[in-house]
This record gives sequence, C-alpha cells and structure tokens, in this order.
Amino acid sequence: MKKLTDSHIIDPAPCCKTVPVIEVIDYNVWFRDYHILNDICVSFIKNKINCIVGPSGSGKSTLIRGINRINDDAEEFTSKGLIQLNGQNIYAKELDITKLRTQIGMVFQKPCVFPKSIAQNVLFGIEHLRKLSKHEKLQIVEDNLKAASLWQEVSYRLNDKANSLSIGQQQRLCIARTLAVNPEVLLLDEPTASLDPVSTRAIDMLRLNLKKEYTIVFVTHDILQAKRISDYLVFMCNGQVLEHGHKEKLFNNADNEQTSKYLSDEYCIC
Amino acid sequence: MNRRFINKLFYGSSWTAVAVCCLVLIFLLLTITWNGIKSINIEFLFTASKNFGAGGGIFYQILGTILLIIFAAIISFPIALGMAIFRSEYLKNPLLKKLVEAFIYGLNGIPSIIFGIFGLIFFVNVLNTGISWFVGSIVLGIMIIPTITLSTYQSINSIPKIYRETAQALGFNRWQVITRVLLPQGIGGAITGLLLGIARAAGETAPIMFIATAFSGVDVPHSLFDPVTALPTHILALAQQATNKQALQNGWGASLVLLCIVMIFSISGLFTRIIFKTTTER
Repeated sequence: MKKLTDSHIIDPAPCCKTVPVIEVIDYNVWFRDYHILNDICVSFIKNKINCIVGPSGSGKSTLIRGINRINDDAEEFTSKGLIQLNGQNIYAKELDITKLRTQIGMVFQKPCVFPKSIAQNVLFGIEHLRKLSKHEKLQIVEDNLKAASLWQEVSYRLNDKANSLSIGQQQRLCIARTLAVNPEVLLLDEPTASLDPVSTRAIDMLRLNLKKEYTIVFVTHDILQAKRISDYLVFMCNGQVLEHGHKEKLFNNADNEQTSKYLSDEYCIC
Repeated sequence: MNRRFINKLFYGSSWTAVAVCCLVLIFLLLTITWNGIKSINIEFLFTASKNFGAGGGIFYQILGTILLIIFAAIISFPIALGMAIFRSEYLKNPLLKKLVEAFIYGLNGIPSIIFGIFGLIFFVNVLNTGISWFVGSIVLGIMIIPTITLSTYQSINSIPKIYRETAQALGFNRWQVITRVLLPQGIGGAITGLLLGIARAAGETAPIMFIATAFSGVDVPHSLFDPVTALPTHILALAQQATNKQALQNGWGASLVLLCIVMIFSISGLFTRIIFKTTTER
C-alpha cells in the first residue's frame, strides 16, 4: 500500500497551518466488477470547507460515502485502501462503526426528515446516544437549530410535523440533526442540488459559519458554488483525483488541463 | 379499427370487469344478508346451539372462531415480522433471497385442506395431541404467515433507502434502524397483513375441521387441548342438513355473522393502511 506522500497533502497557505483530519490513501472501490474509485490519495483539512467537484459518475459521492462507511451495506461493494480519521484507520476491524458515524456526520442530497415533529427530528440522533433531560432537549434543539440558521423560522412551531417545512428548511433541519450528534467532520453530498437559489444561498452561508467548528467535506456540481465557498478543492474524474489543492490555485493556475477546462466551465471529456 | 375505437374498447372492457366483480360481490352480500338477517337476534348471538344446530344460537361458535384467530395471530405475527425483516434487511445473497421468496409464495399457495391433513397427521396422530383448538390455531397461524410476511415486507421495502442511510449516518446500528425507523413506518403494512390474514383464517374450514373443532356438544375450552366449535365448521354441518329448514335458516344466520367478522377485519386492514399511509407520508 502506498504511503501518503507530501504531494497528497494540500500545501499550506502562507497565512495558515493546515491539519489534515481525514487522509485517504490508495483507496479503491468496486461495485460488482466496476472499479469505481481508483487509487484515491487525498487529504481533507481541519476547519475548512473541502469541496469535491467533477463530472457526473466521477466517483465524488462514492468517495464521500466511503468516509463514514455508509456504502458498507451496499450489495457487492468492496473496497481496498486506507482512510484515516485523525490518524486512525476507519476500516480497522476493531473500530466501532456506529461511533465513527457519530464523529463523521453526513447530510444527503435529498433532505430526509422522519415523520416526526421538528424538535423530535433534531433530537432523533442524539437521543439514542445518551439520555437527555427535558431541559437538555430544549437546549439541544435551540442550539442546533440556531447553528443551522433555522431557529428564527421554526422556533414558534417546534411541534409541527417536519415535512410541513419547505425543502430548503428540511435540508437545514437535516444539518441541525446531524450537528446535534456533535460530529467532528460534516460530509455534505450535494446538499443544495434540489434547492432553489435562496435556499442554496442560506446553506452556503451556513457552511461558512460552520467551518469554524467543523471540518466540512462537500460534493457539488456547481462550480460557482465551489468557487464561492470552498477553501480547498478536489477535482475528480473517472474515479480518480486528477488534482487537488487550494481553491485559488486550482481556479487560477491548475496544473492539469482537464481541471482547468472543467473549472472554467469549458467542455471537458474526462 | 382506429386508435380511438381501440381505446374505447379497452376502457369499456375495464369497466365491464369492474362491474362484474362488484356485481358478484354485491349479489353475494345481498343474498347472505337477505337470508341471514331473519335469524339474527340477541338470542341467536348469545345462546348455545341445540339439536345439531337446528335450534338455539351460535354463541360458542363465535367464541371458538375468535379464540382460534386470536391465537393464530399471536403465533404468526412475530414469525412473519421476523421473516419480513430478515428478508428485507439481513438477506443480501440474491440466490437465497429468491429461495426465501419462493418458499413464502409456495406456502401461500398451498391449499388449505393440505394444512388440515398436515395438522391431522403431524399433531393429532404423531404428537397425539387430540382434537385441540390450540393445534388449530397453530395450523391457521402457519397458513397466514405468508400473507402477513408479504404485506410487511412490501411495506418495509417501500421505505426509501435514504431513511436507512440517514439513520445509519446518525450512528444507529442495524437493529436501531429497524426498531426506530423501519418498524414505525412499516408497521401499518404489518397490521394490514395481519388483519387480512385473520380474515382469511376466520373463514377457513378445511384446516380446522379435522384437528380443532367438534360439531356439537362443545362449549368453552378448559385447556389447550380441548376442541372448540367454530363458525365455518358449524355452517358446513348445517349445510349438510339442507332438508331441515330451521337448520338451513340458522346456516344463513351463521354465514352472515361470519361474513361480518371477515368484513370487519378486511375493512380494518384497508383503513389501517390508509391511516398509516397518511401519518408516514413521505
């Protein structure tokens, strides 16, 4: 197995020190006979917005889903390689996968609220981890809805059904529910893909606020969005990472021609 | 033939099929109600039968039927639920999945008389249990397992994958995903299946007539291994006395009561599905 070399760790910006929280080393994924991810080597930086971009079918979602092992139950899924969270192999046999998933929270493309109230949805994940007093519950609901920029919109109707919210609000509720579990890393798999521009903007602002406390890894097709909010960029194509680094570097002076074409919105065949 | 004519022909054929089906059902319901309603009164419902059913009421037959179906439900529900969960959540091997599916459909297709013969040979003859309502419940329970399993499986399987993944991403293990996400949303289908299964069990004669019921001289069972008397077998006995007008009249009355029991469970199943569909609207 390859070692993560210096070239795989994103160069630190002159102003700040980067600390990789997640390191992906020589990671391969197969579904049946299809080789979906091919020798992925990349790292994601603490308290930054790490954005994965690339055309459809390039393996972005497969990579992000590999980080909290949500693909493990998929039929005929096999993987090889190493993913480390703070230096610990997340595929180690002795690792408690449920604990890992509380450390690495994930929000999916389509908002998924449970048929419960808004407050119950926020508490849904945390409640099974520990017993909460009534006061704690109220505090957790308020704190996380505030963190997800949803408190002002729903504070007067916390007992309403969660599916009465708009899609954009539901997605922020999903983020609040994930934050309530207190993860270290937040994986966002195209969370704004089905949202209107106003809701997208709200979630973009939210991400900028959240990076102070969380490491964010998000997948998007929207190059402008990546340019707007990301700190670090990973460009994937055909199951491979073609280039990764600081946003400015990739947008202004990409080493790879395909990266340059894709990010400048030109026609690009990977 | 032009396209418009073919369209009208198919539309008309579909309506005819619906009308035939509804008319048959309405005719059946009206006939049984018209003939049976004359027998229905408090005395008929709450007294024991006399003269091999030609006199008295059907109280113990109703009691026996309810006892049989309640225990059949208690026996079959956990097994069916377990099978549906196992098939939906744990069974990943496609070949095994198909085998289990074939097994469930196979069990569903077995004629009810075969269950009766199986019960007679295995329980009554081999295990020497004698004619027992409990054995009848077990056999009815086995018979309705596929109905409940299929309904539960369909209900659980129709829950979008994203619910499972979201719960897993929040740190739920598989058991927690099942108990906290899938069952609350899939229980409607399970209950619907149970009610439909009960409706089927309540109307079955063949599985219980050799192993669980006696035609007369039976009241409340005092142990697990006592026989009961039930509505389907009672109706069968009365139908065999077709020359006796009073027996036949009581047969119509018992048929109406049995029909009502079956309809109550079937309609409850339908309503349960509607109610749960509304509360777990996705």
